[in-house]
Amino acid sequence: MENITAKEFLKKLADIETDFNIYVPSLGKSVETLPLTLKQQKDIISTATGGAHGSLEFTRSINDAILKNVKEKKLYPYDRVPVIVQLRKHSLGDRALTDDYEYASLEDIIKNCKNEKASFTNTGEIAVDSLKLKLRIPTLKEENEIISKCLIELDKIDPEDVTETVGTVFVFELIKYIHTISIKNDIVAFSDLKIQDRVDIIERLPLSVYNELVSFLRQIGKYEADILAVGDSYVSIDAAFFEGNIFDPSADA
Amino acid sequence: MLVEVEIPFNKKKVQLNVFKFKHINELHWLKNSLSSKIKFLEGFIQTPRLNAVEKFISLMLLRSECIDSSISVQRNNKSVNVDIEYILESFSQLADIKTTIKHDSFEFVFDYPSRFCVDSNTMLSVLRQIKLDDSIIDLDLLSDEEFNNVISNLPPSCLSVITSFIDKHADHLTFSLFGTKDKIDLTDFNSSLFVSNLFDCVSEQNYREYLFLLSKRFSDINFVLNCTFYEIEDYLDLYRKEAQQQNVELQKTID
Repeated sequence: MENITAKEFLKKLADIETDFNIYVPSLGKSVETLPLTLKQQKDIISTATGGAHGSLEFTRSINDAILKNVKEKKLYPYDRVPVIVQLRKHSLGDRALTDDYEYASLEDIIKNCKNEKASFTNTGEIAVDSLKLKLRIPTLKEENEIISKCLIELDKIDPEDVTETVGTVFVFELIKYIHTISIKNDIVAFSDLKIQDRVDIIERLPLSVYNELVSFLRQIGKYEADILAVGDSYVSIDAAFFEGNIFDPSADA
Repeated sequence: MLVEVEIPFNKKKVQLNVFKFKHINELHWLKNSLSSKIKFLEGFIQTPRLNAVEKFISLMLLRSECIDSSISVQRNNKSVNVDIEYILESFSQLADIKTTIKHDSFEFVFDYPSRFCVDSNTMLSVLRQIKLDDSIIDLDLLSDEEFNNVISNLPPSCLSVITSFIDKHADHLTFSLFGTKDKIDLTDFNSSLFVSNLFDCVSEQNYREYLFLLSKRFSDINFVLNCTFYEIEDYLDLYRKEAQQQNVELQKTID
């Protein structure tokens, strides 16, 4: 046995943890990726704390891992679930728990990803009277920039003013998809506005506009729900999904 | 100047630098950075290759030698002094938990943590050695940066192996301090906070006040700075007695 330095050990680790291919829905093909590391796993688990802040941090840390590991960089939010499921399967195995505490094979979810057509309209427009919203699906990199801005501003707001409800999390989701907002001839880049102003605008939108905006967002939500469905059960992407020590739910029975 | 202490459960002799009055101020300058405070305090330990339990006991004994042999704890909303010797009775025996576990291409050696827990990486310092193919890496010998790099780059499947060891030996990694209620868990950052608080014995304002008072009696301020807190308290006591005596004499003169 030979004692080695940290540098030599890291080189050995890199030799073991070689690249592999994953299927990326937006590209419709497989691309090379590095496997997840324990640090990325810990970062993802530690951010899954719930609430608006936790939800944004969780998405950001998953995006960070994907952007760092996957060789192709122009990826979209609808690639997130398929890519992270494949990274998780490679690092922690095929077995995952469903919401019903049954075992599910991640290979089935990956098959869903390949079978389910990911054809999304990347841009859209909603116009009612003089109000016009230009929508677009951001890239993962852009999404992370928006999330980082949101987090910085969230830290400045009195927690009493931003109740961390499911509603707030949903509003933060909507914010990411609005590119510009215009009333008559005044156009504002949505990302230039303060987070609280953006939330206020969303909450004051006419119901018809709000509904159209929600349908634009739901196309991704529905796609994710469809691919994560295994029979009558559903695999949630949460902290437990990344923990790896899957216990046998029938063991104590 | 070195202090030598003995670890109760294995009789190991540990040498430490003396914790002086000036070091209290140095700790104040580290503000709220727990990892910096712990690094600073670990710097007093001169004997290499101690695990976190041995470091914990060594620093308790250093406090006993240089600051006070008891610590003040809150009991039923009252401040109670508990002798450090009494606290160390919980550490009279230590079970052998050294374990070797094979996982994929790795062979892990686990034992008591090598580092104080200040973050999610040091929490995993129960992992002491990794064998990979025909090579061994001794994690205790790595710098903090190297340790973090090695832990961070392990495959994710290793995390559950490490946390399973921690869960399995939770009883051995937790020590009762003042009876059964208060416990020190070496895989929780609160244990590091406890160590850091042991040496936070004077507020910043009181530190300056002590220095100001004693500078009237000592022309060499460096002498005061290099005293232990024990000595400072003795000098302050003498100063108080002297002041009281002078007051009595002054009163007599007035009368």
